Amino acid sequence: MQKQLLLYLLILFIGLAGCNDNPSDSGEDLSLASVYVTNEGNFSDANGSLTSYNPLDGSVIQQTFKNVNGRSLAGTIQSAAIIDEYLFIVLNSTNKIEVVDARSFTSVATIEMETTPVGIAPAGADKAYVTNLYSHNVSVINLESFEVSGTTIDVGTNPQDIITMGSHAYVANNGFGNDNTITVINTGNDSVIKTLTVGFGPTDLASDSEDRIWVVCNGRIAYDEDFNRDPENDIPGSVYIIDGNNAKVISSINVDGHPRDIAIDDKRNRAYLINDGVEIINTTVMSLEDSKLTSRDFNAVGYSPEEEMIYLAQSKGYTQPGQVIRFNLQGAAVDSFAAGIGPNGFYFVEN
Amino acid sequence: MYSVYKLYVIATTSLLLSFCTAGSLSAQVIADTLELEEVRVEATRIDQPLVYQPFKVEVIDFSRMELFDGQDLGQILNMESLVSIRDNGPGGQATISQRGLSPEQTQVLWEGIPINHVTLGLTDFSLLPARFFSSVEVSSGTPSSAFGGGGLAGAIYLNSDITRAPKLSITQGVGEYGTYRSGIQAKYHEGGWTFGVNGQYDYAKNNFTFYNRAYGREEQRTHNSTEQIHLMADATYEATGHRFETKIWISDSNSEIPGSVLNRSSQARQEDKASRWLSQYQTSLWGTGLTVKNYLEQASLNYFDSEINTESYTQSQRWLLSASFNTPTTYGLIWKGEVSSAISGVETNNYNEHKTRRQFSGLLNPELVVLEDRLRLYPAVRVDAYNDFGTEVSPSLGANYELISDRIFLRGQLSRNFNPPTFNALYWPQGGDPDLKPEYSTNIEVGIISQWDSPLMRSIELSTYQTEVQQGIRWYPDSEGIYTALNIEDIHVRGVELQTQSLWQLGGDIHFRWSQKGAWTRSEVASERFEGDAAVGHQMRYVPEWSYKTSLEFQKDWLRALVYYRWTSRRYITDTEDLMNALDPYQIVGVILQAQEKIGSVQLTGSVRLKNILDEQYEIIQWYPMPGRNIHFTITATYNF
Repeated sequence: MQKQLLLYLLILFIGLAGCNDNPSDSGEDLSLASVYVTNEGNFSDANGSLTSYNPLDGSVIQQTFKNVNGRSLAGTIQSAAIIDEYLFIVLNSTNKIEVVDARSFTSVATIEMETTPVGIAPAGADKAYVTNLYSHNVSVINLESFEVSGTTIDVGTNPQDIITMGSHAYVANNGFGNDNTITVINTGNDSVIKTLTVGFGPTDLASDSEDRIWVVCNGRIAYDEDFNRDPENDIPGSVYIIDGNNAKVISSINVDGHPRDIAIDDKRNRAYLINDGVEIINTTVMSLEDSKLTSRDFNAVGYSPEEEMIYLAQSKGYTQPGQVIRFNLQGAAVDSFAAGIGPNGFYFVEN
Repeated sequence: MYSVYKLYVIATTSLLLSFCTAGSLSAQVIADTLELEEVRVEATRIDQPLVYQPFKVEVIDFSRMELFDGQDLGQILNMESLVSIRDNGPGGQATISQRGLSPEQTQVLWEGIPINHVTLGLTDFSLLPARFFSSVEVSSGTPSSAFGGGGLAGAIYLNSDITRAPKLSITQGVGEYGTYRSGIQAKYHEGGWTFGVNGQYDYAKNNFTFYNRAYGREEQRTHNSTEQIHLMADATYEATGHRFETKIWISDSNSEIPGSVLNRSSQARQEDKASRWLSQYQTSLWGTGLTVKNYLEQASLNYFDSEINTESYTQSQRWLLSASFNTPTTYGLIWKGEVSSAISGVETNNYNEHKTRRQFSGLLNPELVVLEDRLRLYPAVRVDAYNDFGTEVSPSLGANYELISDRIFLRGQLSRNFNPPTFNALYWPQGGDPDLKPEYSTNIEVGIISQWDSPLMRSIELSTYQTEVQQGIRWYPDSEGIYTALNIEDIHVRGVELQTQSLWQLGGDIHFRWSQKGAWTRSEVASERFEGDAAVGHQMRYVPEWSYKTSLEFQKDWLRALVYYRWTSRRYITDTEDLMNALDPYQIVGVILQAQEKIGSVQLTGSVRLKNILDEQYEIIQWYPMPGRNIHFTITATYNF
């Protein structure tokens, strides 16, 4: 996720929201919220949702999109991104991208996809890239018309997350544990520059203040020919670090287990990695610290630089709401708030 | 081929309907009258009339079933009983939820034989045409001691004694969204033998228009056609002290699977085929009635979805052999019992090898009538020994006390029940667990039934019940996100059910029958399934807390009409009764009109079904829309020998 860019844009639009005389139709001032949680939802119920949380007073607004627009998001949320003044919510099962005014949350457009979209990132002026899980390519979205252009860019297998840095877009080719590449795209001409080799199952991308890209590789969870679990043939996960400007792998960290999400604390040169608990990576020396932040298992992690708090999402299955537990930097749980079903991502705003 | 058939059905239906409306034809009084009969029940395995049963049984009788000709059993159960049918819409699956439990927890019986699918453990009622069943019994209290495991929530009992008199009957039907139907029924007597045949062909495009709330626009359902062929043939021989009957039921269904309205490019389709052969011999020996049954079944369920490269082939077989006895004594005691043996097998490319289950069962279920024939006691115990998970003992005790002669009956039952894991729960490669245990339940029901001669209120029934399910099986995602079958769910269900029936006659030849049914169902997760489980104390998903159904039937000479109304309360999609994740309450009104005319020796019956008159937009299952107002015509020509 390009959280840095999101942060910047969110700061921009929150500033604009301060001048707004017409708060959201729900009657709630959404600009008060400085944390947005995407909740995946149950695949068969297609009930993904957004939760807004205000850490100043602890207030929570559930189902933000439905409250404002009178209809459900309808889909399972794969990711979200703020591009210009819009929030793009990527949903599969419905295979669409809901575009809302990031200030009011009113629906601006629905981009219907013929593919299965997963990740989205801005790609220069007036366009964005969307990864397609099953068609192994990236679609180009026109941000003027909110339509899918005819251009597609072939990448590796089952691409998931995507992030842009400068004129490069990096695509994590997950392959459900069978691919181990990152495709680098020139956003100027929509062409593939190179393909980098990383660990198996790259799934999540994050950038830091030194223009490095952190690639979380999930590894492979193996099954034998009878579809029974075969842990002996599992491939453990890893974290790869890429120089975002030169598109070169700098280093890698082998980890046991199957990590799935990462959040970066630039101020303390730390990264928090979801991997059967929450591991801490020293981003200066690019290695794991000896002790974990917590051994509790979570779905997703986010770091709020303003509060200096770590947000951890806990799913309780896909038929009841999950929760978010906030940890301090010492690893103590401070408080919690309710999220939607299957919380899977955080987006922070500095007020 | 289909277009030729379509033209043929429309032409013949129009022709027959025009005969029906011809003024010169003589009117024929509809044979079945709106009289309350002494209804006998088979779903409970207690050989007593309805009022003497120990728990509530709803019977949809032959007369009513005739009126519903042309619909599937799911639609009829939704209209006529207090069960909740989880209907995915025309062309989609329709499963049952009885008293707040899941479809796998209701036992479906055809002539006393369990027919739930071996791998799934449930029945798709959209594949069962009403025309094949003479009556349906909804028996929410049938314990495991009656027919074995599978019915924590009760049983649905299907009788298929279709034609009562020698005749030849041909039916054509046509309706909205491309629905066409042809059927034939025949019965023939010769000496002690009776032969019958019942065949039906259905085709429906199911391309109805609906409002897609996911995209905020009207759309048409696509990739949703179904084609079904059903054939049932039977032969019966009756002589003094002996009765032999054999029945074969073959069904073949091909369905396109559209998925939810969120999926606009589905390529999935499904094939369901089943061949069932039931033979039974009844005789009497030294005052003891003996019945021997032999049942063979072969079924296939194949699913194809090119989008996700899935080709699933499943073949299942079942063989059941049983012998039962019935010995009345002079002391108000009837000794009854049964021994049976069954083998089930599944071969599928989803499992890594052929799987089988063998079962041997013994039942003792005497009936005792004491206290000047006022108190009836129904103790029963059944032992089921399985090769794959041991032996289960299922006891039950039912009672019925005639408080005021022929007027008020008190009833109740306590039972311990079990439900064996389905083959999929045991052997599905990712998530199945061969070490799963059966689900158990303890059920208690208390009720009262009262009947009067008063025309305004002919009968009233009140039932309350409580069910405690232990180690219920639920598919739950593990730490790697793989859904796994686990014995983790304890469910606490309680409810109240009330039904009334009125019957009156005006001017000698005008009859009315008014039925009302209402239910309150509270089905909750009773204990934490995992640390911090927020579901405890909340209503189970998709279970309506309140439901109300009523129907008014009218009959005069050649005309018969039924108006029905159904209201279902909000259903939740989450475990926590989240109002933002709920399906709105809905109400449905429909009318069926039926008229008969006679031309010579041929009797014509025409019917019109107007469904969802209020054009209600609703979903029973999230993202599976139900059609708005729609109309269907059926015409039947019957020649009585």
